[in-house]
Amino acid sequence: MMLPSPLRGGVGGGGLCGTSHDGAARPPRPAYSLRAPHPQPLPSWGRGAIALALSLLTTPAFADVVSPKADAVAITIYRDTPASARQLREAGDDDRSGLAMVAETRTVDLPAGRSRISFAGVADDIIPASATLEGLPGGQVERDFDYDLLDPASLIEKSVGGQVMVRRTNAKTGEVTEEPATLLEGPAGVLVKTATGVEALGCGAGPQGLVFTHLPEGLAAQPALSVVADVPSAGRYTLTLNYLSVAIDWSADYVARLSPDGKTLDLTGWLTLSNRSGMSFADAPTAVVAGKLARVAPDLPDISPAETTPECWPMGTTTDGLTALQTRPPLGIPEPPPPSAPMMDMMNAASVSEMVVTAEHRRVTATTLGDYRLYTIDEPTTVAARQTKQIRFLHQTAVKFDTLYVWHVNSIANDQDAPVPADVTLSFENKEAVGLGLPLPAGMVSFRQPQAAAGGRELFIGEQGLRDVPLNEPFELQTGEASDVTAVQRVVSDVTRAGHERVTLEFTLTSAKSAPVIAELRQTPEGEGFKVVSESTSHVLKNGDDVWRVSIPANGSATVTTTIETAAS
Amino acid sequence: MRLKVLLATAAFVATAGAASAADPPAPGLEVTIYNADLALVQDARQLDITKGRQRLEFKDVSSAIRPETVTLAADGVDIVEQNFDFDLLTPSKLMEKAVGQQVQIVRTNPGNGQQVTETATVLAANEGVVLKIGDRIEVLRDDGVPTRVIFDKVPENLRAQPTLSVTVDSDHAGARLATLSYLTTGLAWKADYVALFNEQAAKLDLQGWITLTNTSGTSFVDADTKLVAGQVQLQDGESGGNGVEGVTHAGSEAHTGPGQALGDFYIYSLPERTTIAQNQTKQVSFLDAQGVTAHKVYQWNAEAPASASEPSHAEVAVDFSNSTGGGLGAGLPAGTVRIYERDASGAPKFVGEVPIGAVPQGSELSLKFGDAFDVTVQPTLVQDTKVDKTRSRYSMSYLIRNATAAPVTVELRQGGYWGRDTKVISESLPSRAIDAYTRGWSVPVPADGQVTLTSQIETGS
Repeated sequence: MMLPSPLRGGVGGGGLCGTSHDGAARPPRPAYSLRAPHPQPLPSWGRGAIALALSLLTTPAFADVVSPKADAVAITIYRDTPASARQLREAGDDDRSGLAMVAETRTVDLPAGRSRISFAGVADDIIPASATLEGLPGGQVERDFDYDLLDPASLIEKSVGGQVMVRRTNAKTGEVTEEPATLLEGPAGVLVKTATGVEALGCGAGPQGLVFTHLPEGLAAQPALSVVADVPSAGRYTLTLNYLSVAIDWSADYVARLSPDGKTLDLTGWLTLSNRSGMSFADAPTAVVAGKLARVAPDLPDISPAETTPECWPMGTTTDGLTALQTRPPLGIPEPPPPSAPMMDMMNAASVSEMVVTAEHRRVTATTLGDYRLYTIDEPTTVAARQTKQIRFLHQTAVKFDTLYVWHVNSIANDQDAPVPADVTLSFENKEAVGLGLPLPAGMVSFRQPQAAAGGRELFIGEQGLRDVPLNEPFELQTGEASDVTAVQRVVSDVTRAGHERVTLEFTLTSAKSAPVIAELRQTPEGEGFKVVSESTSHVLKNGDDVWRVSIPANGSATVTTTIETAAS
Repeated sequence: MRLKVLLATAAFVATAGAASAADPPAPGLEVTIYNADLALVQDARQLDITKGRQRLEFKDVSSAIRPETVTLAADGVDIVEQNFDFDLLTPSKLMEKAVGQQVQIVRTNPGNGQQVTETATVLAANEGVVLKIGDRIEVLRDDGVPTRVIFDKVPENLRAQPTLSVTVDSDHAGARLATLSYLTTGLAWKADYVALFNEQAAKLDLQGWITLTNTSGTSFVDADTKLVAGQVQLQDGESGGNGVEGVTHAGSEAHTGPGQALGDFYIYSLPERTTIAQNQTKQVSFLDAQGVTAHKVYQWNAEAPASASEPSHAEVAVDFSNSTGGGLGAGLPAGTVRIYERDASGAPKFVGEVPIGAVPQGSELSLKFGDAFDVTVQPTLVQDTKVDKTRSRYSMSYLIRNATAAPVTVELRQGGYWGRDTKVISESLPSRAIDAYTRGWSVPVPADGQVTLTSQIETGS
């Protein structure tokens, strides 16, 4: 399906990815609920009111339990819109399209009473509001997703008003001095107050920086999902945590290998799983869903770390114009060579850094999920972060089809002297009798055929997108144009009388094939009062078009004449 | 059916400028959040106020405050004026304000590391900083030598963060309870629903969660939190609520579910005080209804009578009612419904999500959550005949295919018969008028089968 533009760029990823997503290295979440999240959270109201106000606040004390990682995880991957593997591969890092439902099983030991259970290692690209949790013995008081992240900017921001140390290094002597200071302002333009006065950092005073004595509370290394629950009795509980996560997508891609005689083909279908998120799913039972789901533009929290924007006073000097001269590299030192082509490719290699192709042994089971088609990969698989994985899900041999040579025409009275090549159209019935008879999820079909002219070598002869095709439905695929099956259109007459225009067209269809071919002229009835008045061969109505179908003999030609009436313009 | 109401229904009316002297609030923070990125914050604290005129500063109000909405109420206190200062302290501002004043500069000699401290007068701070040191005029760091600049103090009006200050006149001295209230953006809430649909049993389990988001830049610690569902008129043209998306028939049943009806609003109260931290999404359960009667409907709609070159999929909707009789009996605040069905192994799997507007109790809902892979319709306009100058006759044929292993009924809707005196000339199944412009057919299609529906409809233009 097409979403207008629901997926915000620049969310997630960033500096957070790739460090400790398996959750093992994540520090426990601070028990912020026991204290206020700010170092000085209360307004500086008047005088002496803070202590009193604090004592009046009531916060129930409760235990903090961290579930470091999931025992088991299963994923089901959905599509926003049918895509091809190539589109997935070329999608940018900030492309949040695609959706996965992640089902995690976690075991926690809970004390009796109220606990906050934090789930480390959930996907970065989680839609927090979609989380569901089952298996708790009591009620959930609340569920929180916190993404106030620790980064240089937030460290400064939350320390404003607090005590820091300013460290200065004498570049010549190497002497390091530290001076206590009050942080007045930051992160955009850091100001400190020391015993000597007020100073700005990063305003050309040489090597200096801030040293913090403690971490502001409420800042975490990674976004964290947690739940506050009342547990009637202590014990070990198995919880099921389900949530939706974006930036995981899949596509179906087909390779159709035509037989040399062009009468049958072998159809191989590949599922391409593309994980652009920073989350790896190890040994996960994996399934994909074919079919269009209604979607709501997801509320993705903006978890990208704040950027530090140094600010200072105007730094202009009397020698500003000379900087170009001063920065010229000294002679004799060659500039570093530009990156070589493969390096460039690696640098540009959009999002997916690894590609895994799994063939024969991995099987896929097709079932249904409600009114969708569910393809379950039989063995658990690992869908790693920034990985593309392909698994064969379909292989049908000797699929029969009809080859049609098709032209789309209109009744505009134009001669076409140059022969127009026909569209080579393969017409299928999705039935068992012809070697198919199974639901085909939308995807790109790439055609190959051994060519006698190329010494029997198999060549790529075209590709076309396929829609979602249920069982028993007919469908067509175009491979390309046939330069040896052509049509010439001639206007025989064009008469306007009593408000009606009658155009008689003659089509000469020529084939250089060594066997007879089936040709179709297709015309969409358009224009007021559209009527076929006379025709050399009778038409049928097919897929909304008037269709004239004739056989062209081997190395021969056929003629079709039509007279169409429309209201005169 | 089990309906669990987790929220207390306190009848607390939150209006701007609350805290009447007759009914002083208890100390603490109260936050009332509206659907439309708006919240009323009422902060009641003990304040030590001296007699006479003085300035009170409130540094930790929400940085997304709407300062014009601030009120401060305390016994015996008159407000002289309110200021919201957002001339923020930056190095550049600091230097500008130091023009004409003396600063200390500390230079470090890059050759020997020696430091020299001098007193300088800032002459100007445009593009570069021009200093007067003794009787010399210099541009700061003109030679690139690392130079610290030390200012005496921070000018009065520059602040590290936007600061609300209120100048008050008090008729007596002493600590007393004061309530500061204001509107802020950056706080919002909506509902998120988890609907587990059991097609065979024709039942739906519906859980409702209130989702709070805080991007106001401030944490609200231990706040007594209330949520208002309903439309709030805002002056900047945005209106507070949502439409009634997904609702096919709005009900008039009396509201009995969670939430307290209050005028045109519903108020939901969180059961206990909670901390709404900055950059946090918080969810609290408010509804848990099991076994709501629900059934699946296949729908296919066409705008105008026309042919399609390919079949298109029928939409799948789950229809249910939030009347007491259907097993739900609760008004539903606006939000997102995420629908799940169980797969062959019994595991619930996501099958689609639908936005809903605020749904009054007793409404009929039809949530279209996706397309049926195996049920398609292909329309063909067989003939389009002009009967006379003003009337046309449309002959339509619809090929409806069902590749599922069960018979289905497709609700087919054909719009576009927009003229006067529309009449059905012939049809293979009886139709009904959906509205003046739309005909509807209920088409049964056998398992693994297909049906052709034909109709001839004449209409004036």
